[in-house]
Amino acid sequence: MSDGEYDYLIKFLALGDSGVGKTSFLYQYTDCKFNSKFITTVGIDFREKRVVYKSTNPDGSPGRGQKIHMQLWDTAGQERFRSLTTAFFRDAMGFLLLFDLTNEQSFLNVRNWMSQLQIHAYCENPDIVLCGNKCDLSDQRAVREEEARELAEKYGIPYFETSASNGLNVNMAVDVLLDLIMKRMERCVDKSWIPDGTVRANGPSNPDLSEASDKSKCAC
Amino acid sequence: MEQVGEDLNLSYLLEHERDMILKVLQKDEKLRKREEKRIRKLKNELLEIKRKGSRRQQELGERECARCLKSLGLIFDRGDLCEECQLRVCNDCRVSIPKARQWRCSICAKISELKVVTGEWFLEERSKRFEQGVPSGDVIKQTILSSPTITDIKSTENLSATSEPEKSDTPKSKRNAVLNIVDGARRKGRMKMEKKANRKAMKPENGVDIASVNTVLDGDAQSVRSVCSAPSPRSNRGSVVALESSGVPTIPNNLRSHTPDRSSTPSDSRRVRPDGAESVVSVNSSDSVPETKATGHERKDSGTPTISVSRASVSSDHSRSEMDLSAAGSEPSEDAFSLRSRSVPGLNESEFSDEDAEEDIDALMSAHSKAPSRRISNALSSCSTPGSERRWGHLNVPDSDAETSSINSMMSMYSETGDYGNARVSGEILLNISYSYKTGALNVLVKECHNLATGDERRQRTDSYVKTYLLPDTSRQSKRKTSIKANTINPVFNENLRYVISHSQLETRTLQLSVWHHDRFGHNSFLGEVELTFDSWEFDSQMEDWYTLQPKVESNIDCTMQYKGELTVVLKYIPAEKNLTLPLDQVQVKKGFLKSKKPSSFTLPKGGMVELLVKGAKNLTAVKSGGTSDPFVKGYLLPDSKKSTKHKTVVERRSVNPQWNHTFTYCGLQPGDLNNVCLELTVWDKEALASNVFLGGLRLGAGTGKSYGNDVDWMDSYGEEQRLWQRMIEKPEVPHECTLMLRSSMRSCNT
Repeated sequence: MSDGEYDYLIKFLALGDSGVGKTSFLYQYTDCKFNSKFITTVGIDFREKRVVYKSTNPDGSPGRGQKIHMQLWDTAGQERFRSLTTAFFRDAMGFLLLFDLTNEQSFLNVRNWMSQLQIHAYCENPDIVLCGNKCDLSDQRAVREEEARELAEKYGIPYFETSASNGLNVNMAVDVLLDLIMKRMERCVDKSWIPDGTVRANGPSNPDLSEASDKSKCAC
Repeated sequence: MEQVGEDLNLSYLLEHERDMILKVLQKDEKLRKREEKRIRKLKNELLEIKRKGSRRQQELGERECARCLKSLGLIFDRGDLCEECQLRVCNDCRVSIPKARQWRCSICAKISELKVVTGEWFLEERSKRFEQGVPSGDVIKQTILSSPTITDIKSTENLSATSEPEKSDTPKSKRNAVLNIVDGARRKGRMKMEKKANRKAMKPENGVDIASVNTVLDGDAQSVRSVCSAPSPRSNRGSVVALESSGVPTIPNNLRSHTPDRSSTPSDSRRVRPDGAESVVSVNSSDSVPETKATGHERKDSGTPTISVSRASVSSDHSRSEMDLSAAGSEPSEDAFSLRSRSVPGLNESEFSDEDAEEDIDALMSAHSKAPSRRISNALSSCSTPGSERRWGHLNVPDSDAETSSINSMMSMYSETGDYGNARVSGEILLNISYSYKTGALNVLVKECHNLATGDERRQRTDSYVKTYLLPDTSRQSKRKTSIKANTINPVFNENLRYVISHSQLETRTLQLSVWHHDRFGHNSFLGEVELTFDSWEFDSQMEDWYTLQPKVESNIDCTMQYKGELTVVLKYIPAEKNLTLPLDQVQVKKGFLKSKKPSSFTLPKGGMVELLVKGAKNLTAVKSGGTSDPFVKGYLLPDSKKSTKHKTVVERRSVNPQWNHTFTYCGLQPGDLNNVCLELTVWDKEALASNVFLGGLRLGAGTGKSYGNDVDWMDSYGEEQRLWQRMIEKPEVPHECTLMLRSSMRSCNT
């Protein structure tokens, strides 16, 4: 799977309380498998997956497919590994922040994780996707969808209700994150391409929307 | 950014947890290596494109495509300016941007494509926040490996045991981690990595500096002593510098010696003092900074062109002696050399040269992968002749001052030296080049030359030898020579010149092979050269071929001339009699070493020491976006083939006028040694992704051309360099401050 050439190496990192299903989530994503047995992650681990990313042109037609090698870091949620895991935050380009829909505390801790990210990630506003995991266990649900959405909105990040068990929204969440990264990437290069943004003056300023990246290139 | 006061203390990890984590990190390292290779390949592609086009700008006609050099019409096919580099390019050399009506020239397009594809955008963004670009994995690994475990404690005396598995890892990343740690330590205070009982607490300082290392250990007491006890006899002189560094004779500040696997004796760690203590110096010595600046300006205004010219007239690649390096290393007078080398036991030379190579070079790319504001300069630098660009891409970054060294002065120097002036280049050379994966070595078998030009017209004699460099590294580490074949224009050498270098490194290098006539009394003369690149070479194949010798490319010279800024140092010699009190642990170290290695030849270290305070530099070349560099200074005391005298300052971020205030100390120097050694200082720009970029250097020494009776080409100090050294010898114990012009190339300046 990981053989051969690729165009991009993209590094994501999953974080969240212990037992919310980070490892299962990633396992589901990379291998489409689920193991209900709980095996706590020791410190840090990662999985890899190769995907093809198709950017869309402004006219809506699909762009050239780009081979992406994804390195998905899995972190231990346990407190005792905290200093170790946060050290890895700065090497990741995007983050999957998970909580357990059946465990309210894990949801309340999202706030803490967010502030950890703000401190340790490569920049102050990294790309994050919030995932309420274990949505298949609807009878044990402890967090309402609206609360979660509200929180995500507050942070301005996408929210998905996922199930590592049946795979619901797992791919979706990662894909959205990937999309965010790819757009940020363009933006970064674009920004630097025109020094000081002088030419950009009549275009949209770019940190606002990820959409802006597409349009801003026309500001010639 | 606020800093979290969270100590990175991994000593709580259980044995099996350590193993698991290390396994993961190893897997990660594999991935990273692969990524590095991919990136290197991509960058080579860019080089390839650049090589095809682009001459020096003045040579470039108005109506010529800057990329493919095709001539452009006045009405049709007239080309257009690339928005980015402002060079006129034809239609074929454009890459239009999807989603926009815009285009860029092929190079600019490639550059920004690379930025995305290599993930450099990310590193750039991150560097705005975190200083060091060292992968967390490396830091963590280092921490884990240096954390005490049960096994560690048992085998306290032998650290190398625990670190053994690490040897297989990429030296580069590992070194980085160590570097980082030490850098951090500078901020934090001092540390001792290898001590068994070390408890290392790392702090994610600025987030980056997970690396800052705090140490709480019994060994620390010793290290404190080593720093503090010695100065007492001298402290009345009130020199802060002395106070700071005196306790540490012959310290390889050499960061590498910190890596556990290098310390072959347990005592090693004691001797190796990390850069930690220097921060104190910086505070105290900074008071004289304004003064320095003043001198600096003066120099710069009046001095630049003159100095360049005068230097030019004496500079050339003049290797007077064939024996220089090897001889210098192998038979220096017993005293100084053996003392020095003894001070760093267990160094493995080959390991070192490999590592050093990786560190300093493969910088070709660095200038070009930089960011926006440099785009134009990139384009400019790519306008030099292809040959020179390949070699000096990173050196030629047009800084404003470069203009001051006029073409005229370069030319005059050119003709005066007569070295390259020898226009008669003829003949060819038979080479067999192979790369051994097993040994990780490039073997350049110089077989023979055919029909060489006559080296000495008057005597009708040609005594030839072959010299090689793996460009862009022109330091002596990169130099190899054959023996001299007397009086023949068809010399048969059959000598193998070997470079230990990883093949991915090699891909970015150029082998420059030149043939010289050795003149015992006068100038060696240039007989021709060949340059070979490796980026498209199949490493498992052998090349055996005749190559036609080429005349010297003119551009080779110009880089010896440029104004590269200046460096301010304070130099002081402390004679042996003033240096009697050695710190206790220093003596212990010697004894410890004595036990393990050569008991017979052991003597207590004696002799004086040279202290060099590297204060700061001015007007360094900016190689990074935003007109800055991340400079640091590296120092060797030559002759030092084993690099045991290597010192480094920390990296000063984003500055072309850095202040390091870092002291290098060299011990065991008798007054008689001073005329035989030379302090080589080089300034480098630290690169996260590529290798470091050379910014300039100088050599402080007697400039006699000789070291312990051998002719050496590095003993080429001149002018102020020489005078400073002289002053130091004449007035020991007095600090001599001096601001010196940086050489733009470390080629020998001997005449």
